[in-house]
Amino acid sequence: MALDDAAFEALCETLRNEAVEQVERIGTALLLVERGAEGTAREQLIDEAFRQAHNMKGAASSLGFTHTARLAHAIESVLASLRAMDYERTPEVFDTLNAGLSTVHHALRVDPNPDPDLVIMEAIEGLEAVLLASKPSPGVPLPAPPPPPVVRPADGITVATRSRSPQSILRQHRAAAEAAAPSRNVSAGYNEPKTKHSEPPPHPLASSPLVSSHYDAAPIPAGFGPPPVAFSPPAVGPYGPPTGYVARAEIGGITPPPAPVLSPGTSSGSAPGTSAGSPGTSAGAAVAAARSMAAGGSERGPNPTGQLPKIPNAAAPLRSSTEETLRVSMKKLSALMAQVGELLAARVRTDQRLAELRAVLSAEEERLKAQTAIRAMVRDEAPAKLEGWSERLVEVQNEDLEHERLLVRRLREIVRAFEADALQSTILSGQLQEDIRRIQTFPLASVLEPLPRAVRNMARESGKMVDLVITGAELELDKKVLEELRDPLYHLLRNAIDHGCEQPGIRTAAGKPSRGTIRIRAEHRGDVVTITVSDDGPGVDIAGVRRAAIASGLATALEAAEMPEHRVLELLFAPGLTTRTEVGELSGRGVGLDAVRTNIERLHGTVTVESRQGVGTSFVIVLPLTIYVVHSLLLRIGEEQFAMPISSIQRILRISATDVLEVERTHAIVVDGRPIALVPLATLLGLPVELPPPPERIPVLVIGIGETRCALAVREIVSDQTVLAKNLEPPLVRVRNIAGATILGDGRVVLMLNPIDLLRSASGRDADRFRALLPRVENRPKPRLLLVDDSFTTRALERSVLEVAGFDVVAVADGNEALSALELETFDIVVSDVSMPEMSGLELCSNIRQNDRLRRLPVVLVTSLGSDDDRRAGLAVGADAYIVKSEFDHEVFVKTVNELVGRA
Amino acid sequence: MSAREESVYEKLRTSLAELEEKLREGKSGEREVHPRILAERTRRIAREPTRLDRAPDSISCIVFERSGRRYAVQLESVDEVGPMSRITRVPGVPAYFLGVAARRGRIVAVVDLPLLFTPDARSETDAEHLVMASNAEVVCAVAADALHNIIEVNRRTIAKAMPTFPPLVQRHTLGVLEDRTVVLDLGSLLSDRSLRVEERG
Repeated sequence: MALDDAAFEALCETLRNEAVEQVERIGTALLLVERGAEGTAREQLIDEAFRQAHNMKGAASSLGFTHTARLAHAIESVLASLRAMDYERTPEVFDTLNAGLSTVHHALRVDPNPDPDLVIMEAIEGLEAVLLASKPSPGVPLPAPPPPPVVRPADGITVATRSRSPQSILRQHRAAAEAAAPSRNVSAGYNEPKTKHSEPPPHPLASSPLVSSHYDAAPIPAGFGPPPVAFSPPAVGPYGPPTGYVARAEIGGITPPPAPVLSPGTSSGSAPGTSAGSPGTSAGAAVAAARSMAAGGSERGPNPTGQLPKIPNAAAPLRSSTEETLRVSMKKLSALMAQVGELLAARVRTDQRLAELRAVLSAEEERLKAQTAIRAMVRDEAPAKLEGWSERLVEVQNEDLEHERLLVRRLREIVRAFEADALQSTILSGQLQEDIRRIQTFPLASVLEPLPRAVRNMARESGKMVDLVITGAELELDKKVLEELRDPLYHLLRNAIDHGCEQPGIRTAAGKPSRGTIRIRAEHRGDVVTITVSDDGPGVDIAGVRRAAIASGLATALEAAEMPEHRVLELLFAPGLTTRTEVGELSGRGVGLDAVRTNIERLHGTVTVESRQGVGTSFVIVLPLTIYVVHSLLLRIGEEQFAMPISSIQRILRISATDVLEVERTHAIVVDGRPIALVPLATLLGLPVELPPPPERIPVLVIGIGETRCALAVREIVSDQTVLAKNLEPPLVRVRNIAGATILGDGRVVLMLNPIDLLRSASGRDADRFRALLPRVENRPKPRLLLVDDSFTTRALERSVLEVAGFDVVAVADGNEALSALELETFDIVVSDVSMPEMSGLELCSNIRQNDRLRRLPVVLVTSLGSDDDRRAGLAVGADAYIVKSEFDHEVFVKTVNELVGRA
Repeated sequence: MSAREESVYEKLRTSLAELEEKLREGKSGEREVHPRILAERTRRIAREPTRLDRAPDSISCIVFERSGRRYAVQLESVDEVGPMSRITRVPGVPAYFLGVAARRGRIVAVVDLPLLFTPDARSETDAEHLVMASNAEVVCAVAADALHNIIEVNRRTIAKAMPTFPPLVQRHTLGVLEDRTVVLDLGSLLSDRSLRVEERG
């Protein structure tokens, strides 16, 4: 599935970025240790490095990044032993550790390709060697190393054998499997000597119910490895008690994506010193064997099959889809953006200089012309007696002239070059601004894409059926905002699955579809983005929250009982409140709703909850935007331009003054059959109103949110542009009707309008000022005209002519339809064709004349039948006018119709 | 009159008499100056003067003018001074906000100080310079018609703000110099809550 692949890619990218950071942190901690940190500081630094390595290992193995996971495991093991290591020996250890850390970058590029890789193997071997050497001699007591070294070769063999499920073998790297699986000796021989730490179980195996139950039942060795992800040593410790492991095995089943993503056989279980209790050992041993062969591992015994696995060269092929990424601090980017702003300003100044230069050039050109004229005059008209002088003068002038010519030519060249340069710099700075804009903002999709997979896994785990519907993923947001949003969104999703989706049976019983639906909807509204996470579950258990509030001491029983419902809902965000008591719930994984709120508030946003019993729960996140990309329409109002987000514009119309109705002293236009308030945008902004002069049509934007709509008249729509908008900064904290501003390519600041505010401002606005600007506004309603013609083209043509002339036109296709319309509605005039199927225009006219109510209704016949007889026939049935199509003249037509309705 | 006062007057009288005698003789009123004193004086003049801004009570201010009024603001509160950028008017904000301008990629409010202090003040001309200031909360530019010199001001020489000053000036001024220059604490002025535009809906 394309989306899932993309999601997996996104996860991998996240992992890589995270791992690079972790490597940096480990490196920094090691550096400080190496520089001589002592005592508690040293321990803390090593602990920190250990934690990072451990987390890296967990994340890597969960995504099937086997090389990285193994390397991380080796680093972790060395770090664990570092505490006990004597100081003299440590320089080499640091070298090896640093080499290992450097190799992580390589491993991240190679992964998730499971093929053995020489560089990584060497690094791991180096680390193992350190570990081996660090093993204290029996006489020297260890000052309590954090994880007690455990060696359980026998267990290892047992579990390894059992855990070799068909599933694992299937997924295993074939060559490695073939090489290692048959040989218990190799496996044991490999594991035995260097065992130091136990290894976490590989998730994919745990996800198999068979294996999972087996684990639950199996005696878990004390030194058994921890789950890779959820544990954070030393709080629980990577060598946690068996119960912890059992819980983890269950969680482990949730986390990893299915088969193609993870290759279980390649789990980190292969690392040296695996207490063979690890269920991953079979696979691990396989890889280990392969590795030992690849490394020419003679000390580990001969390759039993004699079959050599593929040995990749050091530069393992990179995953083709991987783009190189570089982490750049936002501060640097902002500085860059600021520079671009300056560049634009400089360019504007360049334009100014260019204009000045042009002025100099034209002055010089003028002067040259004048000089030429003077020269001719002196030459031709100087009196004879001054002949000698005149020659001298002409000579001097010739020189001057030549000089001027050169000057002008040079100036022209400069101006031309300058123009070309200015154009080039315009293009370049525009591109640069666009590129930096793109760097700073990302589509929301980058956060939302992994969610469907996560939801599927979480739902499957909890035995629920859930669909995730995402809208607005294309919305682009500041990178920082996106990063901060990731955790709250994940948490709200987990929450929705856990609390907001009933089991299919319960749903069916409640009359709901068995599949629950969780919706994430992102919308851009003015200067805010709203992200709503809603479910169609049972709604918040208000009574339960009251009870929980009492239980957790947030409220007394009396307070809780008297608390209105909205306050009770607010309590969901209180720290420490949970309505669930069970451990291991989906939504009980660390961050709570209070953390969601904290994260959102850090972005200066708000999060609220709405709930309806039996219908569902919605969490609404509202984020102010500090910087956002928005496709907008540039509008001119007076001298200034404004930008309106296109997302809030429902329609763009061009109206004439006659389209404007007056309703209750306000103006309106009819859009889609419904009147909508019409207000000049300038009025709302408190600016002088200027609209196009009457014959021109007035551009109108219909903006709306939900049912609330408003039509805004503007002077001119200039263009549409995608702009990078920013909030205004204090002291302009919030200005009514203004969402922010953007800097255009020419350095101008254009204000971004806030459609929500404008809608509010528009309500209750009096129309008097607008009326003065619309001299042709008719206060009485438009005359209603029934247009009857069986030709679509004729109808359209006549309709357009008549509508422009200010008629409210209803068009029908023949006489019968016309009669029905006349019965139902009131019209001021009928314009009809003569030759029509069913009932001709003549019959229609005759019918009208015979109807008491309609007798006086003016009827105009428009026809191609132009003979005198036809005309006579028409007038005979009582038509007021008879217009022949071949003589059709718009003006005469409109004039005739106007006269007949008394509007002449 | 005390004896001490009498002796002072006596000395003064003696000095005046000596001066009168000298003037009568057509000499300058100055005392005879010994070449040694002259040399010493020369050395003293040649010596680099003690920097005034080192004085603990001294502050460096940039002086600018807007609508005929002179303001001095502490250099520390000024980020940058530059030519006026193109200003975009912002509808719905008080008139003392001339608008917003782009400055180093930021969008900055431009304030007209005379209009801020006395709303009926008329700005005849378009400002030509911007004095940019910011603190942790706000970033603002102040419009100026002309930029003058940078001066060292001794706090003790600044006269207290007159009680007739507008309240906002009173709150954020260090005082007035003898040439009518109002010395402002621009940082605190820009953070003043009354300057903030924070409309709801």
